[in-house]
Amino acid sequence: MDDHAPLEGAGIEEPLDLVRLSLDERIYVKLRGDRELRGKLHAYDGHLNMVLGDVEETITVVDVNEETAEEVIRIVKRNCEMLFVRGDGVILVSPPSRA
Amino acid sequence: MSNFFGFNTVMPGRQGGRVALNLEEQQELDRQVQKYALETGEDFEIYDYGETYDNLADDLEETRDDLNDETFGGGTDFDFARNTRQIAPALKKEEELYIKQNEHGGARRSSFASLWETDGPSQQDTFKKGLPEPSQAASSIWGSFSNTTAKGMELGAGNAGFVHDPVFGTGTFALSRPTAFGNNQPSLEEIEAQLLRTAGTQHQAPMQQERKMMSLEEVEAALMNINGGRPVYSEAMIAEQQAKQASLEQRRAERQAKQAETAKHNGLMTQSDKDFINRIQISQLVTDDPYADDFYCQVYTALRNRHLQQMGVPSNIVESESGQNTRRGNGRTEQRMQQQVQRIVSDAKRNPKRTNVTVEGALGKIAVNSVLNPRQLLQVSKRGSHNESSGGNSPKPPSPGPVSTKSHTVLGWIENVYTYVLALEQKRRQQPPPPRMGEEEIAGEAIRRWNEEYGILARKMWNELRITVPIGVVHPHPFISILNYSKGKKVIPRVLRHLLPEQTLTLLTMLVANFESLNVCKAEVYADVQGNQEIELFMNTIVPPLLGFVSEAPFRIVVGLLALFIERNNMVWVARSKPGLAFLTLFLSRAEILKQGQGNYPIPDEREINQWNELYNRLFSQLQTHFSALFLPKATMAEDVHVWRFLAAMAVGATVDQQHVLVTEVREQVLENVIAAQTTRMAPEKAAQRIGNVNLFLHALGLDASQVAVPAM
Repeated sequence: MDDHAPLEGAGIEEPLDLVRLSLDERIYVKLRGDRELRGKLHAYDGHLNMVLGDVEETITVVDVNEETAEEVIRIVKRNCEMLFVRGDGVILVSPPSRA
Repeated sequence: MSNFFGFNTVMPGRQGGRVALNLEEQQELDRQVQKYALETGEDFEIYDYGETYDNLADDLEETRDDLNDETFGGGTDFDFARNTRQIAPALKKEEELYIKQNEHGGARRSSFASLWETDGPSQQDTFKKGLPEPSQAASSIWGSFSNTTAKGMELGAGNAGFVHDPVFGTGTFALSRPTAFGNNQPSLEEIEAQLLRTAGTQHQAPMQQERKMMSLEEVEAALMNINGGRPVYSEAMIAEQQAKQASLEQRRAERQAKQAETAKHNGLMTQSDKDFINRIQISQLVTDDPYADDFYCQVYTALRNRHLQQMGVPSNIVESESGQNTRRGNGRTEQRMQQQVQRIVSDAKRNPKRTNVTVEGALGKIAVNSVLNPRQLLQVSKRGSHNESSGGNSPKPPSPGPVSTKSHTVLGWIENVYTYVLALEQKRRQQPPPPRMGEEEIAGEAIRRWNEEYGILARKMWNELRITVPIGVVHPHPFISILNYSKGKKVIPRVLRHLLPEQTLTLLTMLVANFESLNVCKAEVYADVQGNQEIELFMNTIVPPLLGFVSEAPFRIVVGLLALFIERNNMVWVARSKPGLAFLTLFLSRAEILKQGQGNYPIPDEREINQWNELYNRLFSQLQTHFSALFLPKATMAEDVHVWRFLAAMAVGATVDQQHVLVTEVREQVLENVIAAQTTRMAPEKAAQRIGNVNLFLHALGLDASQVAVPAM
């Protein structure tokens, strides 16, 4: 961490600087496989591997009825106290929406 | 397996070696054939080299490394042992294959030969003698077909190349290893002999060729026909099982024999050879500054040890336990390792620039990059020259003009504060030792330089906190904005350790002056869980160090701070918050202690006392009629202890009239608590706590809860 150069003023030089600002804050992470996470960002690295705390994971499952070919969208939620997120699944990182 | 302890063992491809076959190539080829023809395929992924595999390593002898431990004497002391253990099954398998193919080369060939034998019943009869059971042969065919991969087919084709040439075409044939030719002299001869016989029975030949192109089901059907329509599975499987068992037995015996054979290589490496290899490996992991490179592990270990010690685990157990986690082995090995590490560290210091070494006679370069200092692939010019520019000039004071409190600006400040705090902590760990005799000159220089660097970092951190931005330019004050984030609160104790006393005072002054804009002062934060967490955080991070500071402050400072506090904030508003009340209590009790002349501080003079009394009266009059409102509605007794503490602090300094006002206002709360404590519904310890809270206040007045007359209900 000592290698982090100070962010001059509010100077954001690269995308990861923005992620750094969200350390210790709650963030929203969109993942591959129709998964979403909301949790507090404890740590991250250049691969966007992340350690999140107090996480709510939302998984969207589409069930296809075999007879009618009808698609039923189901949302599964689960909570984790601490979660390691592997960076290759990360699509989007953002502060949680205000709404 | 292409890496042998970090050495690149992949030898250059043997271009001209295709004609002249050697033992290794033969063995390798045999091994491959074995793999596909005899193994059942359960561990195939181990051998899956992928498309990038260039076959160069085929030329190497990869077995015989099961005695590395004996040879290198490494044992399980190092991490590579763990890695090796992970691939142990693969190694074992290879070894077994190796032994088997060495000993059963003949058997294998005959089983290949038997491949042709099952073409028709007539052949079966002819070749039954001296060859494996037909069922076994069938199973070996079966095995080779069920595991058929392109490669397996090729290799099969390679061994009996000219037989299948027309079927497979030259394309696939070229892929197979040409080195296979001629080497299998006996087996080829056998096959040739068979073919001649087969050619004799004309009708068999086309059938045989056709079979190669059959699908699995067709083969199955063909086998059924061959065996007169009887299913061959059970028979084949039993035979396979038996063969397996026998081969297992044999392998075990072979392994022992081989170990005995290779035992002559024991002690081949001298201790310094082993040390050298150890060094190469350990140098990847070693660091002379564990706090910078392995920070979390260090901190975690420290915290864990402390926790265990608190739990009453003796420290020596803790030590040994943590030792077990990081390293195994006896003391001697450990000591040797430590010496190695020392050498590596000093080596690294001597040659900081070198990124790899080429040792004479070595097959490759030895990288001296460590895990923490990987090889740099990109050279990107890093954000200009901020290092140079900020190094020399004194850091510019924060500009008061365009300071905004937009959230990501504030978050940026906080991150900068963290950056400098971490740098400062790192600097502290690198503090030069006090000068020894005769070295004052050098040490003095080092200390001077260290002080300078430390000072620069501390100044930068101070500027980043934005405490010196004048009040009123932006609202809320930048420093308060920082404190409104939980990570901003968390950094304060770490910041304070690097501040000069006057800077701490400035910080406290700024905090007190802007107290009411803190988010923890808002009444609504008590409503939700998160708000309460913020208050807890404030009470745990910011109050204790500042309490420490105030409890050593002279009277003059305390008076000044309280005056500013009352002047700049709405007392009724601030006093309703836990942090506000905590600060008020802090100032009141400190002033009281000083007034009574405790400690080494002089008793304040007349003028200061008057000043104080005036302040106190102002505070009292502002809070009058609001004292009972300080209690939170529905607060549990643990939560209102700070209110009782504050009331006690007020009561101590109050005049008789003021005491009377106090008692009248909080009379109800006192009675409520005393009555609640006396009812039988409450657990004894809770009751005692309630009485204790009330007594905090009553004792300050010279009273006690037992004197409170409870009105009859």
